[in-house]
Amino acid sequence: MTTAKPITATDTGIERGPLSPVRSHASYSPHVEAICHHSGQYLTRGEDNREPVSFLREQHDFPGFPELDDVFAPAAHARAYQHLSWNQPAVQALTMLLGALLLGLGIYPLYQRAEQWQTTIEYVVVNVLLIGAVVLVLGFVLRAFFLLRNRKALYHRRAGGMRPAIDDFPVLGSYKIDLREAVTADLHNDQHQPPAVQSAAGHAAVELRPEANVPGLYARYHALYAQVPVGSHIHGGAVAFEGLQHVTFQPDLEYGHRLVLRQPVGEQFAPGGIATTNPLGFETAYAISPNALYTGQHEGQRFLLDLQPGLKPFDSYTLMVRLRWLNDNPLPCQLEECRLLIPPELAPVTNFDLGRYVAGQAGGEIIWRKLPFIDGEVVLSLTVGAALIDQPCELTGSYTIICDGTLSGITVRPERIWNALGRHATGRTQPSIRARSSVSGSLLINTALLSQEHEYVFSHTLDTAEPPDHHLIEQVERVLSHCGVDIQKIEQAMTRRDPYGKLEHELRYWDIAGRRYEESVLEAVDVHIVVAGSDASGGLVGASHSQLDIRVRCLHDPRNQATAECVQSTGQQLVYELREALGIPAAQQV
Amino acid sequence: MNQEPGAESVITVDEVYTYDIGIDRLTTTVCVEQQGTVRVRIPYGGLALQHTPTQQIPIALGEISIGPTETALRHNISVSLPADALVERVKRGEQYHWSGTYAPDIPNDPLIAVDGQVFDGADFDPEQRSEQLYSLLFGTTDTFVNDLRLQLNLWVPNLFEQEFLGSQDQELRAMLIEQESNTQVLLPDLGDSELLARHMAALAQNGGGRILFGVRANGEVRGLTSGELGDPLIKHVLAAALRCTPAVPFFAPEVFIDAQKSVVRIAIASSRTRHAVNNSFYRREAGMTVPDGQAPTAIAPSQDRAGVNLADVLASGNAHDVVMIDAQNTSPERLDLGSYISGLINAGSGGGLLVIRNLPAAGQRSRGSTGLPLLQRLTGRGSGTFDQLQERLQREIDSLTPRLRRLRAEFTTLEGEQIAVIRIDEPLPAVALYADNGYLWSGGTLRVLSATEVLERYLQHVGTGEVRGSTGSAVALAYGELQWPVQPPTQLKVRSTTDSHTLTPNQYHVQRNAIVWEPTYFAPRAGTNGLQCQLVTRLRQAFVPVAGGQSDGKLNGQIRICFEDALASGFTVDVAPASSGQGTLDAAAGLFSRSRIERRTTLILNMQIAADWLFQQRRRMSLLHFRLPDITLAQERYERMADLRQACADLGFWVYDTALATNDELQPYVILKGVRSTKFRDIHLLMGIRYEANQIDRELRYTQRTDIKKVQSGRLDTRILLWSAATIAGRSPQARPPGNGTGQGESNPERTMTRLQLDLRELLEQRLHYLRSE
Repeated sequence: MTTAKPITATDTGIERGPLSPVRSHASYSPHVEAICHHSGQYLTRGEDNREPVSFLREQHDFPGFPELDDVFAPAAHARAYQHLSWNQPAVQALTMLLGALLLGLGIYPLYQRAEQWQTTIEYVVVNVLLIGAVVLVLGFVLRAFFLLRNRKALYHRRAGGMRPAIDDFPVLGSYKIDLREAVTADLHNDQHQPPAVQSAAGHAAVELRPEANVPGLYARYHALYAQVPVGSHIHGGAVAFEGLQHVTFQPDLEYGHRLVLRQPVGEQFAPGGIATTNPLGFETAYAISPNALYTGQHEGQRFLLDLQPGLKPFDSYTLMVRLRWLNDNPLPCQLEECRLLIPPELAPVTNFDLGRYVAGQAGGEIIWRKLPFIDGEVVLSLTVGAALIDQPCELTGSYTIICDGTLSGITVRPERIWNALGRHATGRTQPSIRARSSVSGSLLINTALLSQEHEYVFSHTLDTAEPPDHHLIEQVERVLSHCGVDIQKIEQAMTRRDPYGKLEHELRYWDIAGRRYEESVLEAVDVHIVVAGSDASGGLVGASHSQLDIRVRCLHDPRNQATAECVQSTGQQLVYELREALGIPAAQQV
Repeated sequence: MNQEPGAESVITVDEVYTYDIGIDRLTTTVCVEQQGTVRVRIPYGGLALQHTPTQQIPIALGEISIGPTETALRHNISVSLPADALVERVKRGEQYHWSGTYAPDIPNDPLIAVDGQVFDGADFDPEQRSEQLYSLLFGTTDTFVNDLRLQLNLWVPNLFEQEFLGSQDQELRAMLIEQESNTQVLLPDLGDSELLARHMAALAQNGGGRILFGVRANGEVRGLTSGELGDPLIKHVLAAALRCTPAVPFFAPEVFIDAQKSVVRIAIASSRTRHAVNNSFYRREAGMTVPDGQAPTAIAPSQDRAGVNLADVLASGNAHDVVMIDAQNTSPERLDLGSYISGLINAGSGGGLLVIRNLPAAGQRSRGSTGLPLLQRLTGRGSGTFDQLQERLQREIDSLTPRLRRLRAEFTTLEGEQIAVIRIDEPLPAVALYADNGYLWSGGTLRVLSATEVLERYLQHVGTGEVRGSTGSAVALAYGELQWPVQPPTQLKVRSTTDSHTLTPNQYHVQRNAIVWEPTYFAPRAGTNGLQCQLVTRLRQAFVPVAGGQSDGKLNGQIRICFEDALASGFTVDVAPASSGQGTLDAAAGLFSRSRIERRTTLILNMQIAADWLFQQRRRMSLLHFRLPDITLAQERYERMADLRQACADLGFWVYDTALATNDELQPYVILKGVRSTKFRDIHLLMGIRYEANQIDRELRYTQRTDIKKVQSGRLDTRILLWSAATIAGRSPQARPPGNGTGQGESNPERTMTRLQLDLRELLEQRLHYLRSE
């Protein structure tokens, strides 16, 4: 009977989501174009208020400082943060033009009735008025054009000393962003669990190199706004990070993802009150969640970097150390350095491929440097003077790998860098973005956990006068079964006449393969018997002859001598029982 | 409407059943733990919250209902989105998450059946086709001499078939009753390819569905004509699927018969990406396919192409990804380009190069050219070889499906030779058809692919080649490991690579000290309503003593199996968005109404395998191979087959299946399958006999003349394979005699098998001796 299943809440809360946090603060659209340089709001193209809205109303961020104000003309503004003001010279000019027009219209009837004024006094008065009016109109027009033409300079002349629209001194320049991550994990081959990440941290540094004219601008800015409480900080824009699923900033950034390039003026920009073009540094640190450094889930979880030591198949003295990435698309990387201490019992080291050997009092050390990973792996090899698994020991060392990219997945795209104007930095400069990760830790290789195949062979040959026919094979088969050999294959070659003998001689060839297992470790002992000989079909006495080549072999781990002993005993037992079965005297041996 | 990718809410219901499985004399399967987890993730942000004001009270989004189908037994979860600091959360790209657990009932029937086997011969299924058995038997005999291997057979019930309606007829009836819906499209005939593509894109977008061909909109069965079935249907569906960007995942067509009328079902898999048709998205709404906005303009692929050393390419000639075409100084108007482009794409080698050599020089009048039209002569346009080639290429592209508009010819001259290169590079379609045919460039030759082959390649590419439920769900081995004491060495002497395909891909992982199997899909098992997966690994080094320890003959490990889109408890999950009347905000509720529901059942199998016991019970296999000269297998092959049957019967084998055929070299062969059951032990037989013909020319040279005689002769290549599974039935390993536990006579099946083989050989040789023709 199915019953109602109460569902117990176990965990609830807020976490970082899959969506990019870079989205308009007004419409939440992800198509962000600019940042309002007053409020820091993200703006889409449609929300950006780049130009002044009308002829008479203008937007000035730095009143009285036309050089800097002109630079800020294209600055991004959210609608609520527009600071439009009337342009007084323009208003005056317009007023004058209007006055001139009115005056012109006013004196025009007087001009039309000029013939009515007959007396000298009237003539003089009217003409003086007309001339005066014309002069005034011309004066108004000329003054209006002058005001219009110089309205910006006049505005700034009059606005000198007024407070700027933003409190920080803006610094424009080029950007260099450096993401560095460091992960420490020890790689040992004798643990049943994936390596624990001992530390995983990242560091993001932004270097802003001011443009050449910035010190001069700052000097004027400082002089101009000395009386108003601004300019205590510089502002160089903002950098938005993405790919933050496995990253936690310490301390948290603005909106959890944005590094604002703002710092006190005296810190780096103008330590003694005099600005320089020295690079300005901004930085933040973050912790990396270990989840980013493992592949697989639950019990199948494995650290991304895998150590796999092994012995060369045909060489008991050569150790191959394979370092490989387990993820599908590993970052380009190189082994910066790997050190492996060689214990004295394995000395001397006879070969160290791609590395160098430093002899020491207690053994020596092999150092590999600057080896690139190819297809996600690098293989180091060394050959020592003693068989590696004959005297099991532990080889210790260290490694450092440098990757071109971030392991946590954090990224900075050029279009996610905005300058002090709130515009893409790519409009004025080409930002340099670098990301590097280092993975380092200790190495431990326990050679007792390595294995190798060694071969052991027992061989013997028996001659018998029995023809190599069905009966002989049956006897061989019986002996094999009695010895506990599973017969896996019996092949008989095509019978043929002996080309060098008599026509009644038939040559026969049998190939028998079987296997016996050493039950304690389930290692196989291969048995191979070839029966070759001739059979006299005419019934000639003494013309038949067979030869039995017996081979018993195994591939065994050298620490497991039991299998080799099993080969020897099986071979001897087979020989003995075949002799008994075929009536071959013990003295006969080939 | 919220259309931002990744902005939808996700409801994940995950049921985990943990089993302890012991494979020993008695295989035990015990469910020790079961737990269900519900996770709800609702992202702040997206355009759905655009007009939502900040408020202190949570926004009620609706309810999630989970449980069995009986309403009274269901459990409801009210979902509210905390709305304090809403703007701040949007700006930070955060999401709200809620998790809860429940305890589903222990399934009445185990969700897993496991059995293990140890063997060292060939791994094969005797029920496979005779051609495959022939290849096995007459391949290299080393196949039968292998390392000891452990095979685990995992079988799971088909949870996707819970709504199985019985017979195919009933299933069709149920679909017809449903008529047009948001998950079903009815089409009376093949119709228009563009329209079909829209339906496919909309269904994929809607979480999957099906298209029924041969059914009118009112549910009346019209049936597809014989001319519409088969290749035309496949090509039509492929052409429609290739019109979608990216290609829509669908499953192989299934044919239903209703009153002798054929109805074809194409199941469309659910897709998490949106598929555009002619730059438009589509969705299903009220049983109709309606537009769902414009697709964003595709980003043009980078033009930074890796340089190609043409001299090297020319020197290398044809390769798996390079096609050389010799224009022979003739007009490029007649070059066959489309079939080669199709062939390179279908080869699946990630594109390639089409190199056209010996083009006539630009100003040279090419042989075969029909002369320039007057307009071209006046304008000078299109008068050169290159323009002709570009035009030809465009015409060929028009015949390609999909039309690869990006393809361009690049021209160069190398040592005076005019050469054009057409790069076929990313992004590549799943497959490509040229003039409704598929081609394959393989081994330096171009061959035509059948429609079925193209379909198989397409399904493989989009990931529906594996077995999945009708909604695209799948069962997969997510992870598998067996603890291993030491790292296996590189094999010293690889005896045979012929069996490597039978080993499920696995490798030793140092971090786990275990043999690890990589993820793989389950496949349906014939004769059962379930799916199976076989894991095979070599057993060598599994019990190597390390640091003086002793092996207990046991292997421990863990296997995880994942059912996508199915819950073993049978629970269903429904989402009910809150209505406006409940004080919620429609805009915010939009976040919830289009939630993605992910259902998953995971089986965790804690394995303990008594490898020593399996070894005692191992399957033994033995092959006998011999040849009998001068015996033919031509007209008298039926008599030979009867002789063979009789010989087998004389030794107690019941031959239950025979097959007589010819191989690629037209050599006749016979395959016999049989079984011998004595004393409760079965010994299986697989016998193959192949006739190998050869001609003997004899010349007798005398002083005055030479006698020449030609004799058609041959031999019977005979291979007898015997195998036996349980070898020591009813006897414990402790009771086995010393010396590797062997006995004598019938009590030792291994001995019996070999004796039977030799007896059979003797019998065949004796009986066929008198049939020798030479």
